[in-house]
Amino acid sequence: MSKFIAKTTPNKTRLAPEELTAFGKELDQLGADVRASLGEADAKHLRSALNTSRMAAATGRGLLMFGFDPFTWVIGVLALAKAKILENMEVGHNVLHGQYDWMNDPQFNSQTYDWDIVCHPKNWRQTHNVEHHSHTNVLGKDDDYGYGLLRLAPEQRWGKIHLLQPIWWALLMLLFQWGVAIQDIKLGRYFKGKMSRAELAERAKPFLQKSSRQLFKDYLLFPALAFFNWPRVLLGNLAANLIRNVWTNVIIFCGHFTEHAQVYSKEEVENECKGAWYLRQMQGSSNLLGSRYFYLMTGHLSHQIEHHLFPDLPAPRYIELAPKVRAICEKYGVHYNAAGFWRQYLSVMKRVFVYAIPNRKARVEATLIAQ
Amino acid sequence: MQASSADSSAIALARAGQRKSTWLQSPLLRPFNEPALWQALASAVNPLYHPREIGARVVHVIDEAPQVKTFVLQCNQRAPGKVWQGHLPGQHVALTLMINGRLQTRAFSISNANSDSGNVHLTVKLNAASAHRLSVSAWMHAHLKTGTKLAVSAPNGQFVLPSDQSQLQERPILLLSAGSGITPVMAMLKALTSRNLVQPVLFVHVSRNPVDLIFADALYGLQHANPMLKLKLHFSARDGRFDPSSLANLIAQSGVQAENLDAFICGPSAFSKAGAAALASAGVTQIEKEHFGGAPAVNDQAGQSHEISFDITKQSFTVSSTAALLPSLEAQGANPTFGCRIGICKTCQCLKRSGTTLNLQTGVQSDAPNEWITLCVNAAVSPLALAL
Repeated sequence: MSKFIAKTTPNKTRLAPEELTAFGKELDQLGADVRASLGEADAKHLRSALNTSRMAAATGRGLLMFGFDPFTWVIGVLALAKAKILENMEVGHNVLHGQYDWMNDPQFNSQTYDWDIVCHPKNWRQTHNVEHHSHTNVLGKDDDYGYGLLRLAPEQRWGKIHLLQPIWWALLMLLFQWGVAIQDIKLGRYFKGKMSRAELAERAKPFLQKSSRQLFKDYLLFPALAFFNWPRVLLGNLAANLIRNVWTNVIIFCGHFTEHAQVYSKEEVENECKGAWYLRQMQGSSNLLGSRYFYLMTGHLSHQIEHHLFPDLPAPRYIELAPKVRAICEKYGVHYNAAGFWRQYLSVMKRVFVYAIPNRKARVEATLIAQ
Repeated sequence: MQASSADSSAIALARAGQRKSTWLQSPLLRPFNEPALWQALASAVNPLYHPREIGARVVHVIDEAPQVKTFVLQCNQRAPGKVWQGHLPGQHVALTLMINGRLQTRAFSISNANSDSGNVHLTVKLNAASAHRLSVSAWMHAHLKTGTKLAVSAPNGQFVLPSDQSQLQERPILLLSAGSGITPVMAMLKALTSRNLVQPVLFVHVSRNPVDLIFADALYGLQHANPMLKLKLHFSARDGRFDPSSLANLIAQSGVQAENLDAFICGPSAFSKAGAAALASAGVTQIEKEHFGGAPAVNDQAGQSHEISFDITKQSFTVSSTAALLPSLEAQGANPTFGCRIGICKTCQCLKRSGTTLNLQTGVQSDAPNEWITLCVNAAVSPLALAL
């Protein structure tokens, strides 16, 4: 198995045990330095991000409710989409990681925070914080790798379902919040007969509760509050949710499925030390380069590498960590996967199309051997 | 003084828990019913409004002794917002402060006898800063100025004078304190002397030096005005270490029957314990005590065992100080929720009510009460109380 992977994943760096230890220590130190300097500014940033989101939500919902013309509808939709993106990505995702637990503020505690999306925070903490972040890009353990629908690496087994994967990819993009919301139910296990109906019902409870609340809010309550203007509000909310879905999906796909992002097998990561864990997080993730505003609107997931190394450090700090992490990468000869948005995203799309076809695996192997 | 953490943790937990809300406060209606908006309106009507606790403002800062200041607070007494409704002498309040981005809650004894006017005196001794962070008292000394706004809890604590007036006047009283433990007993003494003293009151206080004595002028003034008040000041720099067994003699000399005495003790926990034991052996049956000192001293020796108590399930366990809490607790039969087990997902995070832990990954100690700790990477360095 390992021999096979070595052939099919170019650029994967392995370090000797003593190198791994030193590598891990340097990264530990980077994290510790930031941790020691957390304070007022970080708290202020989080509060202001939440306030900006609230202002945008009030503006957006107000314009949708009280406006009449298409122009205010478009502005309203964009404002509401921005509010949802900021709340979900810069506040929700980061707070649920426990990045702000040190503030001791019950409003921003990872165990009690709730966000404006159909995914129940409890389910999210399990699939994202536990499964995805511990087992990043380990095939069979990290369900985020292809979301059980897409084949994005030659190491993944091919099935007929993958022939149509550009369609699944587009659907997942449009319905992304639903995709992540049902992830923890593990429907796949139910369909394979590994889960009883009773267990399924039990697992689906938080999802049903949270998603019905969101549906009630966006598609019943707020349209109803607008009286005769209800179709405008309903469609506006739908459009804002769609924009948020597409944006989060695109950003997240750029984090782990770009050209140089590596995958790992379960065997490879057995008894992995801290340094090896860091190395895998680094090679399984990729960054996007852009402006400060772009970074904010991605919830700083533009810095997936730093996020995966230090998931519980406040995300805006990844910007200052990035050059230091890059320097460590250069020192140890590890590829630091960072590029502009389009370059990264085109390489993701390429994977979606290329690995839809079965014989690709063999062909890649053959070309590599030939080289 | 900084009171024991038991009560303040209840407050922190209540804050962390969910409060009852009406449909008008429903999160479904956000952003139109945004709490921040209503809070801004309420603050405009009442500058002392606070959304969760009792709003207050510092109206006066008094230098009592070296490193000791009294902060006089004016607490909110009108709507909207929670109002201060007075306290019993001996009680404390929890103060919630935002210090460098962190909300920190600490309990402080009230040193005045009556706060019906909304005036609360908190006498705070400066604690040395801990290794990695400015102490709360140091921050208060540096940053609390006349006009600063803050929030306090309702008064708390069972360490109070008997509420029954006739009983209070019949029985002689012994007040025993050490260091900044004088603050709650001072409130008691002021309450007792606000009426004519008809019973003997023994006031024994241990302090290092005369200059460190808090409330010296007030004490000498009260002694002068009240013949029934016996003041015994012990300065350990001059008189040597205080011997609690000398209390028996003192009681005998004052001509009071030990079994009639109501005793109140406040000081560091070792002092309170020793004082209570000495009084009990002298025949005193009514003893109330309060201690402070927050986190016990950290013992760096490897292989120490510490008691971990879960205060929701009422279980207790003994674990080693060298291993992370999660595996040690599991080995003892506890089953806390967990996720990654490597300190990244926070699933096993819980509220530590008291005690000190060491993060084995970052080397950071958590010694303040009511901090969130991750069980899989923290080890106990002292006995702990966890909200589990």
